[in-house]
Amino acid sequence: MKPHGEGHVCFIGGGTMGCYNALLAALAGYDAVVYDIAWDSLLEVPQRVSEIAGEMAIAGLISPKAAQDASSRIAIQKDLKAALYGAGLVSESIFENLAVKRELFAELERYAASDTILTTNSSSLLVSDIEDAVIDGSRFAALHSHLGAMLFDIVPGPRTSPATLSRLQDYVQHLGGVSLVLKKENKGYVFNAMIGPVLAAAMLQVIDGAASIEEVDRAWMKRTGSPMGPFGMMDLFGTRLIYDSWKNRPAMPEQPLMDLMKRKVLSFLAPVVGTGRFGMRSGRGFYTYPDPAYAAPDFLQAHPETSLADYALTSAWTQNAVLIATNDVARPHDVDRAWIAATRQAKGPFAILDEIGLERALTLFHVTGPLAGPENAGKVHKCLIDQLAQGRSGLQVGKGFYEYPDPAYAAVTFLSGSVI
Amino acid sequence: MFKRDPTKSHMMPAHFGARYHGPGSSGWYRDVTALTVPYVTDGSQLAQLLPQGFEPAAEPIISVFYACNRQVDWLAGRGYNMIGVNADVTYRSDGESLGGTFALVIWENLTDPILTGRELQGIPKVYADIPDHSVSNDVWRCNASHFGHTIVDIEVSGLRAPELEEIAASEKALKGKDNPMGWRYIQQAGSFEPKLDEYTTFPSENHITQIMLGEGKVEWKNLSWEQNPTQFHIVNALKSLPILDYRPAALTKGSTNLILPDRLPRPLK
Repeated sequence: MKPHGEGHVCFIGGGTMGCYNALLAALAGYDAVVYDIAWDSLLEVPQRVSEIAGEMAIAGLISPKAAQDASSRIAIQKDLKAALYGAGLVSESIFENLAVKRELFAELERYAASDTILTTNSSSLLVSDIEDAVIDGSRFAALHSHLGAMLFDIVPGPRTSPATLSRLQDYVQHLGGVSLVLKKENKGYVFNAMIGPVLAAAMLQVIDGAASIEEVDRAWMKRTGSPMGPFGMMDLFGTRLIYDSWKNRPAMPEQPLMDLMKRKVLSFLAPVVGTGRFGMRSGRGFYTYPDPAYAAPDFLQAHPETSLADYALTSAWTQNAVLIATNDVARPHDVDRAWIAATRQAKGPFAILDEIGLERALTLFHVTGPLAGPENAGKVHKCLIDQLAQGRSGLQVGKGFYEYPDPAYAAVTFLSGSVI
Repeated sequence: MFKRDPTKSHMMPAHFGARYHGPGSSGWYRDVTALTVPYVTDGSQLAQLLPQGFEPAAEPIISVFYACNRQVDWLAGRGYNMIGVNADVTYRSDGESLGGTFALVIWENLTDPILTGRELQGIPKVYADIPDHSVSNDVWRCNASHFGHTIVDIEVSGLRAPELEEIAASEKALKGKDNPMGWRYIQQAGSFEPKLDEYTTFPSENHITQIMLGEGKVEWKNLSWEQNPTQFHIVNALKSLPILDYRPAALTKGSTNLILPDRLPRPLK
């Protein structure tokens, strides 16, 4: 079956994200072909797909029958030309190496039909880093998915055509997902641009001896109502993925503190990844699986509601959310929508800011330290001051980023609301 | 009359009863910051320091390490510092063959772990003043001294996060060789003959949460009897071992457990 006759969807890279995206496509009725340069990895695709489908079935997201049907629509192909033949859409999910990706996209453009849309699922590289590697930029964009969530970031490049954007939005709609078309490219899109700093803040709390892994996760779970904290999330995403994203960050000699942070984080992740603790899938990461400590019924009991870890994480999260909005990447409600779609939590960062109160949030930001760079700190400060000047100080006064008592995020239609 | 409880651990003065063992007195060192500087030395010279049965490993490596131990459970949350010297060795006897490290000497700045280490495990511990390490311009430094005279200066600089391959290689190299060994030797009272003369192994478990690699430097001092009357011969012997080639030094943070139920300290066969 090929919805709208677009041909099959070709997934480049048979790792976790490639398999996950192939499964989502197949569940929506698309034929999927997974290509990988490594034969070993390709042979593992059916097993990976089966595991992901099994987890989705256990979570009640799909039926075993649907999983079985979908799996039968996923083929593997070692020959790139054959994999691309007849493809309507290509989704790339190889490892995060810019030079390799650029070379790959030039090759994809050579072999794919001229109307085939080419997308990257890169988490850490920008569209502008890659897009000039293809001659016809009108058919290139980022289509970024999130493991375990139905949020899809769509980021056009400078030459992406409206028709390509429209086809990608249709595709996401067919998948049953929420698409967020960014006004402009942003490192880490929207969700990752918030979760990344949260994960970094979590690691620094532990590295600097301010809190234990469990204390950090507990703080986050209490604040957000999430079933796991940052370290549980890193286990879910895969510790290797987190390690690679830090490893591939370019050196920033002009910002020695950022380089120091990178070194600290890598020195923290290396003993985890280097000893095979890859996360949930390997049975070991920061926790051991299948019964991680954070899933125990008493994990959240008898601990304080707030903590320094809570302040640090909440500050990193909400400051970056404000920065995304002030940088005109996405509006506050869309930022929250992205967060809710990705995490299935009830509230996004702007709702949390309303809950905290903007005056208190300013104090919180002051105490926990501003974002890197005075320019960013100034932007965040100005945004909150502007809100306060309009009397929109948060939930307590009935208005902040939302109007109360019936905030938009509580409406059942919030996720299907208009995107940018 | 005092009666010793044979089911419990005793140390001098034993007549006051067994060592405390209760909630919170586990073998965990919750917060350990360590610097390790390994270097290749001359195998034949190292062999001169090893007791019978031990021989230097194929690559004769000496590892000088410093540990800042904090939140030590059996010390009710207190801590202490140590600087030790291990040699990579192979132990061979009729009873067993074991690859691992031989503790040449360990200096500590607290009496209690010195006594337990010597008496219960056979670790050759002696006292020294060991201030907390300093970090300045990203250079980590520490030292030991006794009677006001420096024994050794240690420095680690140029720190970087390790490559995953380096972690994996280290894991592989340690596999089956995580056997710290020592010589438990106590002389008879009134005689030069030994009352207790056995080799031991005392495994521990390290949970490393952070590791950085860098360049290390160790500077042993030459000491006279007047400067350090009880240890000068130890320090001078270590200084006489040539430093032929430094290997990557490591800064690690994490926790250590000294009591492994399935690998308790034991005499070597």
